[in-house]
Amino acid sequence: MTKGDKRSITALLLLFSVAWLACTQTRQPCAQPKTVYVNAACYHVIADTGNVAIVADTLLPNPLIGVIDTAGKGALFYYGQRNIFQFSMFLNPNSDTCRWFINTDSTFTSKSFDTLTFVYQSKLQFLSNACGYTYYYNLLGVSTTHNNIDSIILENTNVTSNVNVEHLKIYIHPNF
Amino acid sequence: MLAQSNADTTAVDTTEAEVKSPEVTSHQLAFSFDATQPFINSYSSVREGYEFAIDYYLHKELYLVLEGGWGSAHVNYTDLAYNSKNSYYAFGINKCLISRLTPNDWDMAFMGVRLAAAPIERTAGTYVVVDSFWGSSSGTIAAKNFVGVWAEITAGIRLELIKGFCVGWNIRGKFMLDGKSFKDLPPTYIAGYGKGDKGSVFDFNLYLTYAIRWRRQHPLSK
Repeated sequence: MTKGDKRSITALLLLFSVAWLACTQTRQPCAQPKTVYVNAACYHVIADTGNVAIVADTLLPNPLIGVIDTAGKGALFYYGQRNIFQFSMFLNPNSDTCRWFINTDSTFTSKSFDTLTFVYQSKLQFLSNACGYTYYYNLLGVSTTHNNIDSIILENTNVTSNVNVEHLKIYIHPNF
Repeated sequence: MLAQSNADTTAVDTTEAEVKSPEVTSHQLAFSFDATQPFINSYSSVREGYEFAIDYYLHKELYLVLEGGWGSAHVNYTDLAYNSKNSYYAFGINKCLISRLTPNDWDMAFMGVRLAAAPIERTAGTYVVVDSFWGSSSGTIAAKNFVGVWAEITAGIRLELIKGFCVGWNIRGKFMLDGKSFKDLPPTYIAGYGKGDKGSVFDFNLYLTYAIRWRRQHPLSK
């Protein structure tokens, strides 16, 4: 290799070295969500043969969905979103129970609200040095009132950062 | 004329065969340090590291490589705080991929592999999980001493600018072999490896090298 070649390669790689050093950041930005959600979807039975129930997605016309905090007050998180059948709820890491209310349509009465009660264990989870810690959950059980909700099935008990998991199937009353 | 041409070709082949056998001419022991580390240390408040390497020419363009270093990390974010420190040790080989122009040509383009280990000490860590609705929570993660083991594949070049003084660049792909130890608050920086919370990392070194050489005693002269 000639001296000219060496000089050219050295200059090129020194430039690359400077670029590499410039790209080294003190703390990377957190690129993943830190809040994890219980994902629910609504269904209803359209035919029941006795042995097999045929179910279909149920669109909620104009739902009101919110959380009931530890003081018993409500905070609305779904309002004005029409015709949804999937929604997400977050849990209280400082407690082992949490309640959410669901009104399937905005024309509500005292009998149109249902309450979902989650019982769970919190688990501290390290995400990364960029994001720090968050909480994952292990669902121990879910109960509901039965105004417009017929029944619920807990499909998956592990609430993690995986957004593709459906944790809860909510069967809306056939008369709704 | 044809006979003359064949004779010339034979003469050239003989010369190349001699060039490809540097083990009959010299030993080489090279000492290197990573010149990028002091620069990164100077502007990073989070990490400090130093990395060194020694390589020895074995034969047939194979080099035995020993690497080592030390470093520390000082994390003091609003939601995460801890300190860590480690040393590391690695060994492996480099294989030069280009032919020598002369027996004294030590310029290299090479590929290599490494196996590395690092004893790591991490202090107790404090964390805050920020939650604007339910209220933030905080706690402490216990201190931990553990060993990280990883493998590397590397490629690079080394050029001799002045007799004995070389400059070299390595790119490295590093793969953590024992990820279980790193699940619970891995250090943000591990000297020799990089980001401790990544199972595989890409890294780069700029080495300044001094090589010493001495003549190898020819077997026939004993």
